[in-house]
Amino acid sequence: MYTRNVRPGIGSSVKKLAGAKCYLHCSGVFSSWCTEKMDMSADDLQAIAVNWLKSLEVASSTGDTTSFVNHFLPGGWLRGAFLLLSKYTN
Amino acid sequence: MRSYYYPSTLIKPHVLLDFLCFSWKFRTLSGQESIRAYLSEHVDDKSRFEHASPRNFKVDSDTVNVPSQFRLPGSRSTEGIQGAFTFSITHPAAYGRGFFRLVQDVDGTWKALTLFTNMQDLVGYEEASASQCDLHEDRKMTWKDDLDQKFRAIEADPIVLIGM
Repeated sequence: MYTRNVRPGIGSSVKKLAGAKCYLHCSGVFSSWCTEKMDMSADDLQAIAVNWLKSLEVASSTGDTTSFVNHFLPGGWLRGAFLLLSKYTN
Repeated sequence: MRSYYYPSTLIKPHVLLDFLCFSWKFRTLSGQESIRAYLSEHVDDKSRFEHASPRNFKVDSDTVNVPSQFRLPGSRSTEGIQGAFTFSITHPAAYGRGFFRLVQDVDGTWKALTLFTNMQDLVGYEEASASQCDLHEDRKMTWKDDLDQKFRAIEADPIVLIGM
């Protein structure tokens, strides 16, 4: 399996990412940037890909467009991550 | 303020790039709403998505694009998973190949950052793999070696001899 070390973006509330270790960054000041590092074996990668495609298959078999589209990243999160990253790395 | 706007213009999340699977056009769609609207358009009294009815999704482990990790542009460590897959569609009956890039959302669920779907072959009209190798399939030699051999054969048995 793989490990993830995350320093999540922290606003008014802290959302703990699933399966992640959370840290507070700096003394008394919440960090507003996150880094993720995943070390996965080929089997892990294969399993994740297979599971995602299986889920896509189920969504396709129902003919429900919404279920299919829900397999895409919802708007905002990625952009938010990049916003936070760039704010502290530029 | 620059840092607030630069990243959002650098990368557009959740993109569907479709070559001929859902219509006879090449389409690039960004955003769940535009993807949903496009796939919901009606074709022959069915939604475009139901009409194409993609199915049989399988990881394409035979290519160089087996699932692997990738780093997002502009990020030093954020990573996702990318890989190729095969599938088929009903209307028209065809085989497809595609490519996905997955990242985790805030809940840790893997979601598609980009999804590429490409119609590869119409069922019953598959391109023969032998024809892709042209005449050199059995020769096992490079183009240069093939040309050299051809010139040597011509010079060894000339059709016309020009004397000075």
